[in-house]
Amino acid sequence: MKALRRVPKPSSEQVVAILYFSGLALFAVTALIRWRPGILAGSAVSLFVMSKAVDLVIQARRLASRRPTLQVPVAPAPLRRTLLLMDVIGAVLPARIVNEQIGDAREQMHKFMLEGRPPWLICLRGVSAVCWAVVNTLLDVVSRARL
Amino acid sequence: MTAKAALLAALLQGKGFGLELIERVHQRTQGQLRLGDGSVYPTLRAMEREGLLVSHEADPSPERGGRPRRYYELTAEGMRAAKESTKVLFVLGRLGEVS
Repeated sequence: MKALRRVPKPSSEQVVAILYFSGLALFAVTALIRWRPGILAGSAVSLFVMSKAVDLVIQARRLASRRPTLQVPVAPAPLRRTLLLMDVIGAVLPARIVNEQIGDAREQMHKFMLEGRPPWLICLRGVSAVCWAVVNTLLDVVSRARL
Repeated sequence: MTAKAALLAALLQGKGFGLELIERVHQRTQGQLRLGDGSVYPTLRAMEREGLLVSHEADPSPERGGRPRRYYELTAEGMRAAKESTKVLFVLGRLGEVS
């Protein structure tokens, strides 16, 4: 006899998301059949926003499940907070700027740590990288809008 | 010396990523010039838009928090601009010595 494959039980959040998406999809189909462009557009926008929100939650979970990469025996609290800030800001800003600027800063912080530099200096490097990443993102958006 | 000229001169030595280029400029100028995050990355992106550079991402590394490095390389046009700017800087240096 074939063994039955166990289907993992969905979490309560997954059930809510599935119900929400199916409700919205049903709403959109009804609006399409009865031809209500306003409601149809509203449903499309809601679907888009919700899918983006789900994407963000997935990214945040992936980030939270990642093992810490800067291995230090006892990381001081300010350093842990700085790394968390870098990860949080990194999830919001464009990937290219984050990979380049925040990545370079993380690499330099790692080097500082191996050289035994003071923790405040390492934190300062992280915070300054975050500030510059935000500023450069804004400048990038402005320059693209001008083109 | 502008950030653009410094980066062009640093890239004449070969391809490199942001942090490496900052250190290269620092070493080549014997510690006299230290480029910051605020000028290097926007300048590199602007130079890429101008067609002076091309870039590609390398594999992600753990010390970068799983983020890849972005390597920059001079294009033929970039190489010309770099040589031109180095020549100008050399002439200006000689003029400074004479006066």
